Amino acid sequence: MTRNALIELVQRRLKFTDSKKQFPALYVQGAMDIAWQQIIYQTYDEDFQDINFYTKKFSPVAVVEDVEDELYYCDLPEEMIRLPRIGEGVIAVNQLDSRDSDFKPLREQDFRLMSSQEVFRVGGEIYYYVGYKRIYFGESMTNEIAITGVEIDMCIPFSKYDLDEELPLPSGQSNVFVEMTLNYLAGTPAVNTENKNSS
Amino acid sequence: MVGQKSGALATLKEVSDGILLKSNIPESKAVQVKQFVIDGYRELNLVVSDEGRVRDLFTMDDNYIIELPDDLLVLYDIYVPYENGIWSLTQRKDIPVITETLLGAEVIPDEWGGGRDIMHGTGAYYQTTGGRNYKGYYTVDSEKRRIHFRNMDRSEVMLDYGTSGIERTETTYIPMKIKPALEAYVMMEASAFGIININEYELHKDRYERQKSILRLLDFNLTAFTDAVYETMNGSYKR
Repeated sequence: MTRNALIELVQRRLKFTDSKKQFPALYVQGAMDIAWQQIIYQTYDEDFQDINFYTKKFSPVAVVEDVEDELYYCDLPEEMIRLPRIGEGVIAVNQLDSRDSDFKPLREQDFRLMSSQEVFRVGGEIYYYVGYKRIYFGESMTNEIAITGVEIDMCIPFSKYDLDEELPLPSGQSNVFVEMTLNYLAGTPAVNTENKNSS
Repeated sequence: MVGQKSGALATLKEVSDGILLKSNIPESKAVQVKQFVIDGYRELNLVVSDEGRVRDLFTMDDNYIIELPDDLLVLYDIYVPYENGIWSLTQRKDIPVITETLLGAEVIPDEWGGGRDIMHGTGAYYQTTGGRNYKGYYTVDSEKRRIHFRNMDRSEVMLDYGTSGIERTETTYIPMKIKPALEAYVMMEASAFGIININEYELHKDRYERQKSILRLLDFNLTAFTDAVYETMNGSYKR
């Protein structure tokens, strides 16, 4: 389902209680943002590997070299859901033309500690950590990969999908998502569409 | 490990990715897993597998000194060629390891026997040591990680040593036969360091010990064993 369809569906379900009142789309969307975050967090909590169901792919994402600090980074292509995991809402980073697991996430602390270890010198994996709005890459990042760019799978907020964009909801989860939103809105007064002075 | 990549060899990345794939360890612990693989490979090379044994040629400098290779963990022996076979040199502790800088070059001072042979086994005096190795002597300067040679008639020798296996070549290759032991080692360490449940430690330790035993059995070779026994015998008859 598209984002717009989901908003309308929730609005219709809410209208059922009182046909003269309604919940504005932005109002509903706020609740859906919370429910979306919650459903993603629960999935991560139950089995982190299932989180891939809820990702959106961004490709290509430009990688820039910070000459002064001698490291490569890229700006996050979109706001992310900050999951309590290493890499936060960035689920995977890959080269454009590769399905290999060349990129590995780690904590910023590990990034500093590993520089004195053999693992830093041996092998070609590109380690990265997610900072505020940026992804920083380790020594193995090459200029060649940077020029081509990378592709990033991310969990992003509900409101960051386009209105006519399909949401990556697995089958059977649409109902859970809608019911969760309705629960958040339960007890919240709707806006009276007939009398603009009242709410 | 030197050699072309084949089905019998795996890279560090292949082993560590395989562990991530088969276990519940998240990809975000990949760097820790890979360091455990490196540690485990070094340990297995040292304590179990003959795969970690290197025999390679090294050339001395003008002072008859060789830098120890970076991947050397333990030195087994040093050889020179002898009648289509090899001849083992003798380790002597009375070779001075002193050098000084003269006109920008490193030299062994005269008073420390620079450029001269050490006395060996000619037996004119009671205090001299017995025995004689006509092919040469060496001593290891562990602090500077190099070997000093004396009484040599050649500058190229074959070192026989235990390698860490890490960074010996551009890509580190791991023999597939030690992979099960290596995986068990990584899981044991992951448990000890709290990446997976500490309660699993004994389970993985048991698996590691079992895999090490299997490797030791694999390394047993009856022909090599009988050859070793025959070498202890002489050719005289007993009647």
